Amino acid sequence: MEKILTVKNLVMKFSNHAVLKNIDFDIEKGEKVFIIGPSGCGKSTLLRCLNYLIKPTRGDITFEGQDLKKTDINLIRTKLGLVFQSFNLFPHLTVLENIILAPTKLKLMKEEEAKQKALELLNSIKLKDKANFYPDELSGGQKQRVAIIRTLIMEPNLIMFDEPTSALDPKMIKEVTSLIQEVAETGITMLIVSHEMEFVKSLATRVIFMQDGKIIEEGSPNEIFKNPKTKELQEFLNN
Amino acid sequence: MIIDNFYKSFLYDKRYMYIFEGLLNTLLIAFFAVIIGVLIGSVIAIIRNYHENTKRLNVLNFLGGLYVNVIRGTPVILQLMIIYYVIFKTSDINILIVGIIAFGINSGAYVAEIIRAGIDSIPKDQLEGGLALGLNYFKCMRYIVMPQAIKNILPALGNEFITLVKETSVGSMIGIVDLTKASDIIASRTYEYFFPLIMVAIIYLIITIGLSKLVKKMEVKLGKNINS
Ligand SMILES: Nc1ncnc2c1ncn2[C@@H]1O[C@H](COP(=O)(O)OP(=O)(O)OP(=O)(O)O)[C@@H](O)[C@H]1O
Ligand SMILES: [Mg+2]
Repeated sequence: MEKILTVKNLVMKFSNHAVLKNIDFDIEKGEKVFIIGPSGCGKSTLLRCLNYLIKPTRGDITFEGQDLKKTDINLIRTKLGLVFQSFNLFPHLTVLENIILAPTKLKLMKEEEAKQKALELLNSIKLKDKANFYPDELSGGQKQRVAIIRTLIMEPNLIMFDEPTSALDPKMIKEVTSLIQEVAETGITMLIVSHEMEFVKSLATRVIFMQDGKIIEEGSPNEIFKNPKTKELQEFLNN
Repeated sequence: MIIDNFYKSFLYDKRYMYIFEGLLNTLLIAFFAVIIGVLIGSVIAIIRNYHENTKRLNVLNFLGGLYVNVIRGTPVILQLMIIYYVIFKTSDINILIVGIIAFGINSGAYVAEIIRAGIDSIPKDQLEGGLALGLNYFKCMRYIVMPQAIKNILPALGNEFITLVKETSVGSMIGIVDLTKASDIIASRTYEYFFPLIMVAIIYLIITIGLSKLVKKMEVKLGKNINS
């Protein structure tokens, strides 16, 4: 299989405190890789390093064959999407404007074309009637689904999700995980940080367990959940 | 006697025209100065924010900081005199334009700090949301951060305009016929200070109190928006 992302010796330090310590892994096209691990172990920091929202202290990241250090990062980010825990919708813009902002301002689509595409996407998640609403007028689950659509309209080749459901009321989690599931079925590559173990088990093709800035163990969901090898993972799963 | 004085001060020889001209000039200078101030202030605030985020643009950031400190650390009348007597010494530029430029440059330093506070009031996840979609820093600022920041600081900008309306009175030092100067001109004709001075004081108060009320309304409305 063809690799879409490779990470070599990734180190991230915040003023001498190492949050990521020599991370190495890669992702093949079509994989749904999940990252699990205790709070504060560096999961969000890792995702932010992967699209250079924070510049890693050391290490190499290659996305679709391109070294991130040597390419236009803005171009990379259009193909390497990130969905945030807190949605990060733009409150001064309507749902529709949120979705079409990037494709139109980057001149990837004409405004009419972008609107049409956005409405189709909104229709597919049954939120077309909210197109002219502001984010504050939506529920948490609706906000996160709009945020996902906003990333999808860029037609990324890899989407990263940072705990997409952990800011949601329990009863809204399902609508978001279902949408991610549907998106996954289109064959797109995914890298997801999540604490929802049922969600992980249902979608993961591979699971990475992190602790204290390091990858401790990785493997298929079966290996990770049924047959954890390291003491750390066993302890994590028992809590 | 009183009616006589009033007549002499405002009606005789169409002296009220001085007041009109002065009022117009005061408002013109304040209005265009605040616009220049917002332009300069936005550029400087964005340079400084970009520098904080990326540690780049060192020289521009230094110059921006220097400008803000020099302007805020010296009296506006001195700045006005330097611009008029030193920089525009040999040109026969319209004195109103000199006033607009000087007060605009002055205002820019204060507005830069206002806008900086406005940018800081917007959560960082807004910028990151834009960056993650592939928009570059400046597009994120233009379409995402600044529109929200400006909304938050509209009241502060309103107050800056009010300050400018009063401050432009020092323009009379270099011969600008603003509202204050107008009263002075009339008084120098009639040797009667009471009416002209009281009249322009009332006009200043009407403008500043009126604008303050408007700013308060704006604050209430924006406050509601934020809470809803
Ligand atoms: N900008 C920063 N400056 C300094 N330290 C930071 C910064 N960002 C994160 N950290 C630290 O890095 C560590 C890892 O944080 P990170 O947010 O990546 O953890 P996480 O695994 O995503 O946790 P959670 O499950 O709670 O989201 C934490 O100790 C955090 O305090
Ligand atoms: Mg996190």
